[in-house]
Amino acid sequence: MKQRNFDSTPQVRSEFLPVSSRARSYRHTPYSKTPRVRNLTGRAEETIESTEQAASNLKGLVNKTWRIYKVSPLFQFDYSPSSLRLYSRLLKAQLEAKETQGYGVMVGSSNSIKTCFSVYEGLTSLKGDSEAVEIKIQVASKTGGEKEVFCGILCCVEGSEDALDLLADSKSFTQLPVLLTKGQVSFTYKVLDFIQTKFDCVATPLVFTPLELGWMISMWAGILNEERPNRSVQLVYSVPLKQLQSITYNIKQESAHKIWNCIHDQSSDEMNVEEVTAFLGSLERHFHTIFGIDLAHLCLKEIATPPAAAHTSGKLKIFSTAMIHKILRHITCLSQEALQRS
Amino acid sequence: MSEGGLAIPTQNSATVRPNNDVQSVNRNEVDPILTRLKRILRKFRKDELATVVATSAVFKIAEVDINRQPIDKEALIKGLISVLEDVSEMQRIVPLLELLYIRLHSNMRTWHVLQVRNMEEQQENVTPEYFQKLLSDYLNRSKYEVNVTCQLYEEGLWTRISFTEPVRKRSQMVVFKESTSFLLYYPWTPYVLYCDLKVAHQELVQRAILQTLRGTKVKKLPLTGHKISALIQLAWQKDNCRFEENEGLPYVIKKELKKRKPKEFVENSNIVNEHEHEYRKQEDYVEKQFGIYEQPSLENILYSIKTSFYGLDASEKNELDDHQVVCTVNFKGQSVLEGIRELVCQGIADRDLPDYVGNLSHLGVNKVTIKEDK
Repeated sequence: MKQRNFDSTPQVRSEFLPVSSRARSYRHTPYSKTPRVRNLTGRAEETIESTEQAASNLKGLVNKTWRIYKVSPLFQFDYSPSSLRLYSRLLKAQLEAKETQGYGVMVGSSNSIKTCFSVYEGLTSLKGDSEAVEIKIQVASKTGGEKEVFCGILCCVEGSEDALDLLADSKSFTQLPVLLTKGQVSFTYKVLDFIQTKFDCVATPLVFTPLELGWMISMWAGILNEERPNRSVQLVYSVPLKQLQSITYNIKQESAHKIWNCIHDQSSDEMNVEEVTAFLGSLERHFHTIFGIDLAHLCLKEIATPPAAAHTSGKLKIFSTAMIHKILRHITCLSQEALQRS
Repeated sequence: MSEGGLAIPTQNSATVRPNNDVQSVNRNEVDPILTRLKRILRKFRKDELATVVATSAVFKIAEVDINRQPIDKEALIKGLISVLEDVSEMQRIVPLLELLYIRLHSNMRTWHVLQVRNMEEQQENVTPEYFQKLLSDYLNRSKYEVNVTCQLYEEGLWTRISFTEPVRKRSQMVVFKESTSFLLYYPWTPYVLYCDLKVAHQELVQRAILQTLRGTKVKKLPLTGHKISALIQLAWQKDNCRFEENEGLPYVIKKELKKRKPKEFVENSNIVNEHEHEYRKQEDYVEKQFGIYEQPSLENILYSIKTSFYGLDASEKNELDDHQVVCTVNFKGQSVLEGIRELVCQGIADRDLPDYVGNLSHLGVNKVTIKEDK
């Protein structure tokens, strides 16, 4: 098995990796590690008050399918209005250059593409968090007017204290480990290309393992969604057969809540891995008793809970505005763990 | 009416006639029919249009030979339409084309199954004309204007029913709205399949079928799917014991019946299979449970369950003591029944499956409700 030598990596990147990963050799194994305990409520620090714009922004995140990328710290990212305008112009120039590639240089700039970098209010709940940044691309549509072809949000919601402490030594880096994207795939790749080139970072798709999906369903299955009382808890298992593709297992919200209460200690703000195993195990045992089919042998591909749904390919859909911070906090945590592992 | 194709035997359409007569007809009558004709012709693929031309007496075109040189699909459609003489011919051809399309693309529709009980006489003598006339007579007694077209193809009566009703718009203008549905009846069986039937028309059509086939009761089975032969086979197996290939099976089931290829045991004196006995026992069980023929292709099975929760021990269940857990399970795939059989072969499913899982092919349903009495 090939081992990657960390001494050969660029000096600037190796300084900011956590100590433990620098010492650890990189191995490709099918087994992944998981924390023993996760916090359900978040850090009890002073929170920032939200504005009207922030509330409106939060509504814009709900009921849309986002594809998630994990992003390493951005080098020399500046929040000043002039810098954000500069980034918009540079991104526009890059998109136009790619469009006209092979056709020669066009005289005068094209007005068909509009790009915008702006601060996205509402996602930072703690004072230590970097502010979220929104990237939008609009093109002129055939019927007149403008059509949005890409929307991306770089954010960090209650990021890990270890990672933030490391960056505290250098003011040149900005921690925004989560990129939510929605739009045309071609523009997504171009934006990722731009971010990686301009800010000397690495942006890769964040995929959820079945274990991480198990954590999500265990943490969120017991939460009742008053906005959508009919939404059930759903587990989709993929079957490795040509004839049978998937088994979808839906449990009514109220029933899932009661099962969760039997397993999880209500007085605790934390959820441990034993509770996750017990919750999933109980659902699978119930299925096995009724159908005689052992779901533990199949792969969990997709989950849906009252506040959110997630797919193993890195897609996320949030249904509840009240739960946005908790869900994105968990995604930030997963993103930082994945970055530390790689 | 002959079996298959679009036989319109009265017209001699070997020569191409000019379509001047069409221009003299009222434009209000021609446009909707022409639009509809173009729409249905465009739905066919180019190679399917060749089937339409080859099997139809009306579209026998002298000038356009599609085999001689490559031809654009739109040009071919224009050529086909130009052969038609007048509105009445167009009105006659549109239902037949729609029936042909539904026959070629039956897998694209969701079919539902009705069972007619206690039919008075054997239905071998039910002909397309007989079926069409009786259905049409009954349905036209209702408030709708109904048009029924019936064709015989591979022992099945493919029927198109169109309902036309006036709809009053806000501007007080009256518009005639047409909806089309399709039936399929195999005279050797008590089953009638339908698709695209509106809820408002369902009861009327069921009564018409009852009257036509002279049964005492018609029941909608909880069985839906895309593959017609699979639906008929599942409904048939519910009422009949396990069958062998030559025991009076309807043609639609017989042609799709496939024997499973037996797995070959390669015996090698150098390799000792420690679990051979267990493996052969498993194979024997699976063959006994699922038979030697491939299971009918069902794409979707839905279970609705309301029972106590079996995932926790009695000591762990606090709030769940009197609570019944409500859940639904959906199996999806190309052939779910065959997939369940494979799960047993691979050891993912237990050997002793409950009847509603292992024996589903004989229950004649793909929607199952499991309830536990409190």
